[in-house]
Amino acid sequence: MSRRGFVERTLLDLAEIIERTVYAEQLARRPGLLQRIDPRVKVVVLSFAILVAASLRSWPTQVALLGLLGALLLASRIPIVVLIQLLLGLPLVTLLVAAPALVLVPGPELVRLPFGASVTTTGVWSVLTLFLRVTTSIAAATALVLTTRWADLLRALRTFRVPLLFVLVFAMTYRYVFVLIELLQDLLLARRSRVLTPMPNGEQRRWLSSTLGVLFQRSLRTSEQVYLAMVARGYRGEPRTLRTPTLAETDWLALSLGSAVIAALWLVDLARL
Amino acid sequence: MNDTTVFELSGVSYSYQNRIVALRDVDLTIRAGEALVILGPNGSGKSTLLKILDGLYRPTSGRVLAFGRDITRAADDPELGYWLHQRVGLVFQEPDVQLFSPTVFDDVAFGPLQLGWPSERIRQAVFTTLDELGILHLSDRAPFELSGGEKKRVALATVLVMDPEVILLDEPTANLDPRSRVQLIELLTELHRRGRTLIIATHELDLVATLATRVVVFGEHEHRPIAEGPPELILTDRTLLLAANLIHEHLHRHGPIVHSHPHWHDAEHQHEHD
Repeated sequence: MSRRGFVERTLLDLAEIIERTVYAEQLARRPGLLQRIDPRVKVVVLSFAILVAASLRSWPTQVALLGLLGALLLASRIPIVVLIQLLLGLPLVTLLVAAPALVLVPGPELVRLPFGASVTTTGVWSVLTLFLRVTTSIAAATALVLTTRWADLLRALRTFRVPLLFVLVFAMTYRYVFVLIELLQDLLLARRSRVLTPMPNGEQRRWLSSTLGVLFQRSLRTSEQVYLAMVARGYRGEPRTLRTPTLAETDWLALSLGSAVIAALWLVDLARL
Repeated sequence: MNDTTVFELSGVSYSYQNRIVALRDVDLTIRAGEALVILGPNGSGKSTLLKILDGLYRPTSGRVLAFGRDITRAADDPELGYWLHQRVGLVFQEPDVQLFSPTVFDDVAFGPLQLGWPSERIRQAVFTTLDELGILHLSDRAPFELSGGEKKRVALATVLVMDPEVILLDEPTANLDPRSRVQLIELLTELHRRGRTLIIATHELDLVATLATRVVVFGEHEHRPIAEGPPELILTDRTLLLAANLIHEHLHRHGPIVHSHPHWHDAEHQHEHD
């Protein structure tokens, strides 16, 4: 197979970004357990879970919290393949980064290694604790992101007193990133269709800088047109939003139950020390 | 159609950066209930004219009246602009610039929110408008998940929800597949039948044939109206359409004969009725 040039690699990356985003939105629309709960409740309970995960010290409570989050994700119809991909990515990197601690942390010897080094029991526990904390935090963040639509997540931010202007700018930035990604895809495809032989590096760099210029010009023009489109619908510089609906009974139940279970795990962990 | 004047333009000119002329000394009167098609090739100033009518651009010179009120400075006067935008809606040529919110619902609700409507009225109006346009199932979608035809419909919904008296449409059928195009034309016909004033900028002649009650032709180099009249008169004036770069002359085949003459592709509409 021939080596892919930067145009092909960039095209594939851009297509993957769009594909993943669309897939995440589809997952968030599935009729699962967490999808039915108000985003504000999920933000509170799952943020609490991340906080608690970072402070748990005994492995049974850590495993219990991770198991609980795993069960919630499965009950929310998140495919197990997606979970394995997410939960094995960063946590495995963490294991690699933390691996030296196996021999560097002083403690009772577990396995003797060549050159006088040895893996210590304390080292193994430190690495395992870090691995479990990272995995649990990622599971909680995944539970929030994959079961909540981006628009609902933004609305939830408003409840936590994040300024409306900030939320609006954030939402519009996210929105137009996709418009610019599509434009960049078109530019790259148009270039690929006209190039028959590999281009020298210097020429590629020149093309890339002119493409960035086109993107910049386009984003400026788009921002001007978007502003006009806002003004045309009555915008006078003061952002407005619909009043957020009140929480349903099931949301209050999820909030109470979720917080209580996580708090109980925390207390058990404290009691075991 | 009634005789109430909606827009009256006298001597209106506009230049970009004071160098590139878009409109030159335009005089135009538009009455309530009209379906006016502004016909012209690319670069003749149609889009600029719509933005001036919507108070988004301030003319370099000349005067614009809307509903009897001077709106020439509406682009610099937020209160005057706000008054105008409650009565006039603009559907942009590029729907992506009009769909800037996270979901279709939020985009359609944006205008009524700016008008200060109560929340319940907004929800009701958004769902009713989406339902009327047959896109209620899209209300939770993000704009990047929509097709070109769906985006156009949503863009139209963002304007219709505000119930404007006048709707300005910039190239409404551009880049649409045949079915979406027919659906949109039927929708515009229905809106006109219900009494809305439509002002449509386009270079597509079939839109004139199906929708217009009056046509104003903008010249490619003149940047002002070079002809106006009822659609049947304009569409039969081949010399005018050729001069305005709205039809073209190219080689084509009629059986064994290959020849060229000015034409547009309207053969499908030339038939008899019982």
